[in-house]
Amino acid sequence: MQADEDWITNHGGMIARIAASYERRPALQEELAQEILLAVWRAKSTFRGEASERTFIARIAHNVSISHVRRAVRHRAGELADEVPDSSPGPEIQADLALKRARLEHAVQRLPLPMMQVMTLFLEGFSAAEIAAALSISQANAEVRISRAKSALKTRMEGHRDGPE
Amino acid sequence: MTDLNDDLLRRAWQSGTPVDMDKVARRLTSVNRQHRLFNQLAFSAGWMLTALLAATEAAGALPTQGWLTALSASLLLLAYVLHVLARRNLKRRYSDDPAALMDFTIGRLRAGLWLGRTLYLVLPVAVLLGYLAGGLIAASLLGGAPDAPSPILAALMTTFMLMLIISGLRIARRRMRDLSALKVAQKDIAGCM
Repeated sequence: MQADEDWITNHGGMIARIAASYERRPALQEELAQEILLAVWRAKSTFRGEASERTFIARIAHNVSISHVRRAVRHRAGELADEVPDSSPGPEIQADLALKRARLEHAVQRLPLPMMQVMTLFLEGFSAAEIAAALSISQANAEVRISRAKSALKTRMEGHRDGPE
Repeated sequence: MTDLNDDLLRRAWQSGTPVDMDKVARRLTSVNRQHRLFNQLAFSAGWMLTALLAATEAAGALPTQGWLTALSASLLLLAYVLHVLARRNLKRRYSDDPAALMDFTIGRLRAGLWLGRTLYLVLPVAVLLGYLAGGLIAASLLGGAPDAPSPILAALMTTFMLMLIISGLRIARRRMRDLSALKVAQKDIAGCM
């Protein structure tokens, strides 16, 4: 694995987004991200290069996140949460992109768990083979889940688009 | 109808980082501080147990004539020296490099976890168990001899120390999970080495 001082720089964003996919509450997102960071550190010695470093970290992130979900009480509100963060107070274009990202994140969070898992990695740029490796499923299964997740996401995004602004 | 272009979706998705990872890394430092506090507690408890063992042996409650105390003290001293050396080495390597802060923190965590928990507590506890066994044997052998020390009193004091260690373990473990307690503890132990 590459030098330790680079891995958080290169993969910190992915970890943060995966954590945000499983946990909607900002305060607990940080806690989940911290749990993932610790788990990755503890597992570093077991990395043998069978998959890419990114796939290795994604697998750990998902496993830790699933454990987190099992422990936590989730509140599945139907409406868009008011606390959806918009951290881009700049020009209108940036604000619009941030809002679109927030809506995308909201839609992903409300996917069924198997779909959310594959969609999170798909949006991070993972291929079907890499997704299969990260989630310990077959590539065929991954491809089917990706297809279904994209359909479900499309439906949810259309629902947001057609709804009140 | 929304056009789910994969590239556009990915670009939108990766355009933000919902969690401040720098903040998370800094919080990990506070977790590390909790481990340092725990190590200090464990280290202090280890030395107190050793002192109690010395007093017990000096009082003649055990037929070991001080070698248990010497053994416990030597092992604790060795553990402390190793811990200090490891901590200095890690600090020298990483403390001036902000980009390596995470690795430095985890490295200290690693050193603190192994040396602090394993050596500081396991050694005194092992000596303690030996002392308890020896104390019971001594009590049965010495019986009611007028100049015999009180193994019961020594056992009670040892039990108190054990309760102190267990309480320290529970406190540290609770603090690891309580976010607000982490923040409070961070202020309390700021500057602790």
